[in-house]
Amino acid sequence: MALIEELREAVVDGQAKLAVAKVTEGLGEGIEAGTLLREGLISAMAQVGKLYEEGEIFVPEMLVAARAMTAALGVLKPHLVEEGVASSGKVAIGTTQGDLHDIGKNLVAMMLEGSGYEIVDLGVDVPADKFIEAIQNGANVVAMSALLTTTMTNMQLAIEAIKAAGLRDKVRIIVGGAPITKSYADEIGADGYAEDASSAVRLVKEVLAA
Amino acid sequence: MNSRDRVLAAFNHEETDRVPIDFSGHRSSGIAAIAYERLRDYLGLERRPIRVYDIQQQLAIVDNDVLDRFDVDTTEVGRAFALDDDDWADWTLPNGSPCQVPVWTLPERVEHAWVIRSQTGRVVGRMPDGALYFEWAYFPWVENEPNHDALEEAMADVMWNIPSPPGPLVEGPDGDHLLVEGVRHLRESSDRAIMGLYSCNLMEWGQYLYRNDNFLALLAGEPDRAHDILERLTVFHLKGLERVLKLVGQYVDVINFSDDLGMQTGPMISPRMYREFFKPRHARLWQRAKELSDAKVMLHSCGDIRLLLPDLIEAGLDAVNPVQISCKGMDAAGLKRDFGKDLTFWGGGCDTQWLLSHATPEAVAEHVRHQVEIMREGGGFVFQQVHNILADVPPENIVAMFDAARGLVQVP
Repeated sequence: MALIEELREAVVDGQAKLAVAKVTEGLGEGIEAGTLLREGLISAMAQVGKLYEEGEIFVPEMLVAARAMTAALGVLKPHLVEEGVASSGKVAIGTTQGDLHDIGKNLVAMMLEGSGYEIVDLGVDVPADKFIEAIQNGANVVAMSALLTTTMTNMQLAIEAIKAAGLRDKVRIIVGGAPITKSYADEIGADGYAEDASSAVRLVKEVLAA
Repeated sequence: MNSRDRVLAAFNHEETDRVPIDFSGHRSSGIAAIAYERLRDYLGLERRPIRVYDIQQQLAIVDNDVLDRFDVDTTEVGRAFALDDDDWADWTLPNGSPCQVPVWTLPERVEHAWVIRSQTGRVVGRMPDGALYFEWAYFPWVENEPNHDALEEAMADVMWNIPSPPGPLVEGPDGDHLLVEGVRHLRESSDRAIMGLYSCNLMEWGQYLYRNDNFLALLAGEPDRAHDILERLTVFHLKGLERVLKLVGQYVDVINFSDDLGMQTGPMISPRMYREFFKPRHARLWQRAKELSDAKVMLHSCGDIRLLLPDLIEAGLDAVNPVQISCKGMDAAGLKRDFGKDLTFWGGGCDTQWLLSHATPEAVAEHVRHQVEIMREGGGFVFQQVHNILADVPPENIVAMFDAARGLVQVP
């Protein structure tokens, strides 16, 4: 379908206005919102992730693509609700307590949203009880980020708190951020680690399938 | 061979008696006040009020007794100023220890946080309880419609515009005279290499004004506007650089420019984007600096910037800092092999992202010996731990690091 192809291209190229116009046009033509989401937006963001991993594009290009996707999704959302299209999962995301660096976290959130997940953005400097509350409200993935060696240890405290609240088996926990490594993620009992936004999308898919 | 000779020999790619050591010569090779207080105690040095000269990052002035203890070869222009007690105000570190801060940076208490204000009185930085440093509280062109014609007004409301010394001490009608006298005295009284911190950030100023994500999106989505603001910033920086270097260029050995371009996994922007937006402007700034002084040009740029190094070298760079070896493409041996003859590596001496804060002193010493062995061959290396020593770093590890860097037997 030419329109879906054009929508996909608009998102990959980061053209927000065009992406919104194409979604609106598609809805007007009677294309289902779910189809525009899956074949247009999600497929475009998968392409963006691939281009990033291949070194064809860098963060600025990824950002404008994610923003175009978000703009188009804004138009689609009420229609998705109407059609009863379910999200692929609910991800509660935030930086750890004491950590105020959210650029990476925001990019991960945008890429996940563009891949069909519902995002609960808890923001920065997030205490453990906020993550717990999000799990109680149905989040099935918790994603935590830390930039500093002095704040990364709060990830472990948050995981301990989630365990103490009896919620550990209800949620998958993934971690990321500059000082974090796979072995640190294993050590603190997280379910996974991703080094950038596009691999975070893959990781969420993996941990939810596991 | 004195300290200055040792640092300059590194730039000339000559091997020296020992590697030159930088510690607190600029605002990314320093030490957090909390760690510094512990270090002094550990070294058995007299207790004195810790002076936090960099309020945002909470960095301490490293006193001469510590610099001497570690044979440090660098100092910076700021150490020539704020020598009077009147320049300092009492404050308390996040761990409860007393300290002093420059009077013009004194934080205030607002709702479970310390805040710092710009000269216009706006809260621009915030350190919530539990945090160990200040973070941006205000991005001028997020809160207001971006107006490139009002660049300098917007810059005034950015957290990083709250200066470290000298700052306001060299403003006013007598400012030029005081600046010259201060730096000349520093030059005459110390044989340490003097660093002038005239960062001239381009990418970072774009990010301070627009916020990081918006500025990166501007580069990709609105290239004309991005060029416009970067050009205005370049003109602004050239004016400042010219004023300072005409006055004190003859006393400065190294000029520290700054622009973080890397992330953990690679550059933030493509080499193509660097070439289009930044390279010609960096080249102009660095060339002007060299016209106005004999100083060497160093760029502080965190993260994995390996892909950008050929262009940075072409733009006229002498040394790159901090050589963040824990990042993907930043393996020291590979960098030395591929760029060692064209570039001095100022940094990469010790990983700070994990090792310095978490490993044993023995492991730190072993790692440092290994790094120094790779980096010092044929000169072109100034030792520096990858970034500021953060509050949680044990003093044993700091001593192990500096002792290993100088080839001394490590005394744990």
